[in-house]
Amino acid sequence: MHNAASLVAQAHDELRRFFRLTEERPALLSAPWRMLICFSYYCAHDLPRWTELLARLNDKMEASHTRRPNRASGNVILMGSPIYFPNYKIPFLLQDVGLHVAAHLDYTMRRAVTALTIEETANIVCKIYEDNALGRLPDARYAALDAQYAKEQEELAAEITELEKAVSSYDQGKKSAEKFIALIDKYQGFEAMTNTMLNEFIDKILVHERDRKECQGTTQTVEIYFNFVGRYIPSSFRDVELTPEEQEEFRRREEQRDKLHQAYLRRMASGKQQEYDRRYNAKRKPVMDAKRAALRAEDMERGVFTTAASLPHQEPQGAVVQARPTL
Amino acid sequence: MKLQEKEVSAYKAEHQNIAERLMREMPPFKEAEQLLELVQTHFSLAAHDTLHPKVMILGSAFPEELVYAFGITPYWVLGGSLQTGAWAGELAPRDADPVSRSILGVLLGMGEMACDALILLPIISDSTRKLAYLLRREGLKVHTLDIPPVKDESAARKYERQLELCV
Repeated sequence: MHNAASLVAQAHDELRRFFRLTEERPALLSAPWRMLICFSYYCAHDLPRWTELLARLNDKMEASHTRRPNRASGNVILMGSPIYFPNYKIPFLLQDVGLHVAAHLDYTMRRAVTALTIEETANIVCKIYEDNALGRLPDARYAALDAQYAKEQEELAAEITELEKAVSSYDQGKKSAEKFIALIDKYQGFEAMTNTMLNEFIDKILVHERDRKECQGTTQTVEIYFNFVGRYIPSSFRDVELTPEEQEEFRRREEQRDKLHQAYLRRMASGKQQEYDRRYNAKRKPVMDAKRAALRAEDMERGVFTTAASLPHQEPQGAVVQARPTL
Repeated sequence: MKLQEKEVSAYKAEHQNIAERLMREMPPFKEAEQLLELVQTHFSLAAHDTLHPKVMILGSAFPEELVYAFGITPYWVLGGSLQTGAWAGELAPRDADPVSRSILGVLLGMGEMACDALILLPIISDSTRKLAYLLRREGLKVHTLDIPPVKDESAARKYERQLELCV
């Protein structure tokens, strides 16, 4: 039984090596060929011979100079399908059309494979160090190999971090979306908005400065952050593309505003604005006071406004302290 | 069951198409060519007449170490093609999944080859359970292995017991 297990394990090891190599150098084999070679395991009438054959193929692929192409293509996160051996078709086909499988939903498996590769690389580094120490490997060759493996280890560690980040952000996003949907379900078909609803839905509101100060017709950004989903802008609130006529009108209005603002700043600098404000306020104050007095008189007649002096006089009274039971 | 001439030629044409497609994208490695030959032989009808496997494994969920431990190389049937699915015809239940259907087609196409073999069938779905029933009804020697859908301690114990029974 032990021998059989070891035979199968060796074959599986070579298959894993094949997966790793074809993932690193997808240009070497097309997806149908990768599937065929993986499937050939099930056609082997002589397993040790098949393992040897695959090992030779892996060695040749490893020695090949075709490197991983630039990963400028789109990244994909695979989910909803168990990515277990031998279900390798979906990742192979995705890679064949130029997509990069950034993470699997079952990320623990991939992480384990990457961690295993890091360990393997560390073992190789130890071995080449020993070879160098025993004089079997020249110093120059050792330095080159050491640098190469150090780089590979760094890349693998970065890949683990990237995978963990991708999966954690996916998990977080999923949980938040579920909570937000539950909240919407809770208030489905509401008739009046209450403070509790607002507090439950809205995390924060950021009100920015006006885009142009001292201007009545300016714009101002208000950001509304919802709980669980963050800043959400309904499509009707998003930027719309203006027609050429509207753009021209907008430009003309902005120019006018700029001119007025520059004139205001010049007046402020020369002191003429302050002089104008003083003259204008002196004229406006008696008018405003008269208007205010007329409004107050009207309110007093209707009994809406009452002065303290017009209330009936009362003596101050002490507060009544209620007796408390002793503990 | 004896296949009709038309069915055989359709299968051969399918076989040929796939081989041609692979040849067009042939990688520059001699080993890849040898592995292609291995797969072609596995699926060739001529080879089926000469092969007499002792153990056949249907699907990939069976631990093959158990078979190798007896010094036997298993003959795997993981599925077939559209044509082999068609061979199963109305014999397979209407709701059978395409893999189970094509496996049944392959076994029917093998003729005498499957008669003497012990067929190991892991039960992973309702279709595979029906497949086991159909094969037993046809008089084939079928041993099933239930793969528990839930992975917990009791399931592991059940799985181990079944493996012992297999041995």
